[in-house]
Amino acid sequence: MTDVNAYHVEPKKIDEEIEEVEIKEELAIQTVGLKKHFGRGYNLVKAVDGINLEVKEGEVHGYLGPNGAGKTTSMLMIAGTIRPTAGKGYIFGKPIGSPAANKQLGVAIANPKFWKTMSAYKYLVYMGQLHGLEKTLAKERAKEFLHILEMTQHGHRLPVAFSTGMKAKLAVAQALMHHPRLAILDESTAGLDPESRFKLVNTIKELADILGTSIFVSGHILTEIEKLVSRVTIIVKGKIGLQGITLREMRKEFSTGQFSLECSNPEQVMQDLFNMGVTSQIFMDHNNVIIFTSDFIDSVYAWLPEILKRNGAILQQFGPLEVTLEEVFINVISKRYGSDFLYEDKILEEFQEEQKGIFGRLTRRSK
Amino acid sequence: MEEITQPDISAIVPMEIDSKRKRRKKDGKRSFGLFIIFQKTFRELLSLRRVLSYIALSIVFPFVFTMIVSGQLTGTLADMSIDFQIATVVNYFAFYSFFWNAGILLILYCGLTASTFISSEESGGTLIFLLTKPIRRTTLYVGKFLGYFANMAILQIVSLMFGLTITCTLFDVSSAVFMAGMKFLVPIYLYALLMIAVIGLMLGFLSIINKRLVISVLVIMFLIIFIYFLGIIFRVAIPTYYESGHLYLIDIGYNLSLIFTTFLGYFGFQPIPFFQQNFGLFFGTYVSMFSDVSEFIGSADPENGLTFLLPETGYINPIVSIIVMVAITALLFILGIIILERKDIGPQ
Repeated sequence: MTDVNAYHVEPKKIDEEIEEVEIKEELAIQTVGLKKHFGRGYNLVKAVDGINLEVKEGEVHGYLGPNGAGKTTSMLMIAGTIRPTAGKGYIFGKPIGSPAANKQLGVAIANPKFWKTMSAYKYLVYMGQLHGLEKTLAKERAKEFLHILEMTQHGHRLPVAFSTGMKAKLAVAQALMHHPRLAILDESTAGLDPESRFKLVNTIKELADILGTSIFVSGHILTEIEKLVSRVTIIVKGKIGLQGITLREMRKEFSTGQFSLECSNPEQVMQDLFNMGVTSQIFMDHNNVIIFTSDFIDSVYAWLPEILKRNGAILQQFGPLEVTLEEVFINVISKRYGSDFLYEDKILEEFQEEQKGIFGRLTRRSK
Repeated sequence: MEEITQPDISAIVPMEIDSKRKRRKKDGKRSFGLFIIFQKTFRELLSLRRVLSYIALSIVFPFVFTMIVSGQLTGTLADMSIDFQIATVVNYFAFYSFFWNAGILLILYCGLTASTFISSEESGGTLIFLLTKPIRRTTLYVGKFLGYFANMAILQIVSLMFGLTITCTLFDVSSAVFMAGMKFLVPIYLYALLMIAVIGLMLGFLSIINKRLVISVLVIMFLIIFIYFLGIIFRVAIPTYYESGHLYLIDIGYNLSLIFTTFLGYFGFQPIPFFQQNFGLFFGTYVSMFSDVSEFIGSADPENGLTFLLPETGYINPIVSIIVMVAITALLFILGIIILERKDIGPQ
């Protein structure tokens, strides 16, 4: 199994190294020991605790972490709205928070808010102008993006009256309309129904391809992120749990050694495979796909045509079982912080319920 | 309303990494962040509801005031000498302008607008988007202030013009009196501009450190009471201590009235007894009725019977008042910028 710690970057002594950091202009995002602490003394919260990030130009980089891990805080530090406590960050070599860095940046956040008196079209024009677009060009781009996001007929409506999905689309439009070199999308599809989410994710991906924009995206629906990203970083409790690994590397590193076989007559085929004695932990999942591990996979490959033929089965798919992003996510977090970490709230709730139950029974008895 | 037509999809092209000069040539004239913020703020504040309510309120007080004082005049003002007509109109105009048009009403509107410069954007969740744009936070703040200043400056001149017109109309005086009154509109307007800037920057600072509207309203109310009504309480309750205890140093009303009368003085303003008495009473600019004024009564100018010749109290040099006010305002502006630059803005 993979040693998760191999990917973890400890923030120790980072402060001393910051002065010597080499600024890489070719990187879309580069952070060195970026920290954000809130409060003091007993109330000190280390929201982000010395993260080192590298996002390459042109890639779609996923940023994952459980609730309260520090995703939004670190993304907003990069976007320049939250000031870091310590550490440094650069966007294409320009210091984060500076107009030069923001010029190359587009940002969309979850649950975006809009002015109450400005129509969607005017909002986009205004945002474009703030990004330095000339008014005529800003108007053209606003029309383009309203069209791309299928919102042309809603252009003159006030966005405050929009549905969550339309608000999310408008936020994405303002983030991309000036053709930024980097877009930061923090839970941009939060609150959307699956169909709208699917459409928006695809649109973002297409636009990023067309515009050559690097995307740094966070989200809680991992299957969706998986479709979008080429590389992921996982943050847990303000620290990097897994550093910028590609999906291919991830699948390789986190492979469970399992294989999946999809065919007709799976019961008989599974029985034959079992009888061969070259497989272990063989079972059938709820989709009638045979899952097994094997130390003699070459033998399985050699015997499989014969087994299928014998059982009159037709092969649909066979190969190593691909590990999902969700599995990696849970793996990383549970290895590092214990398997209960992700379910802390649930466990606490169950414990409280249990306590209530015991207390209730005791009270009834005493009565 | 501009029609939103569907664009030519082929126009959506990848951003080319051109040289700055080439890109500028292709994109045309680039927008200037400060101007964009200024323009939006100015337009937003120019909403019909806001403008109409401001104009209506700025008319009501001069109307009621002129109606009351015209009833107290013996005879018709239009029948009196032209000098008397001018002096009366100008003095009444200056008095209610200081109290209302360039006073309480101005503080109320300026205060409510400026105290939400940043806080309304922050609590509305729109500030986060503005801060991700390539503009400095200082530019955002200054742009908003300039938009507010331009807006209030226009509203103020309209308000003062309406006030003077109403007073002249109700007194039924000739256009010559109105034109003479216009001359004194300049110092009153200059004073109003100073107030717009000072209130804007002071309460703009509040908008950076405070998000709650109720606190802003309380501060504005406190400011109005402190400026217009606290001085008179001091002078009535503790008349000797006011002077010996140097309370005039913290009496904003006194300092503002000093600046106001100084501005008027530069334009040859001649205060009539009504003006002197009331300014003395409310703000302590002149030796008020609480002091012994019998020696001054006899000093009325026999030529036109206008001047009471109450001396000015002259506690402070008006230049010092202006410098201190500007210095405090500048300090709050700089402090506000520093706090804003360091402020963390998260999603709402």
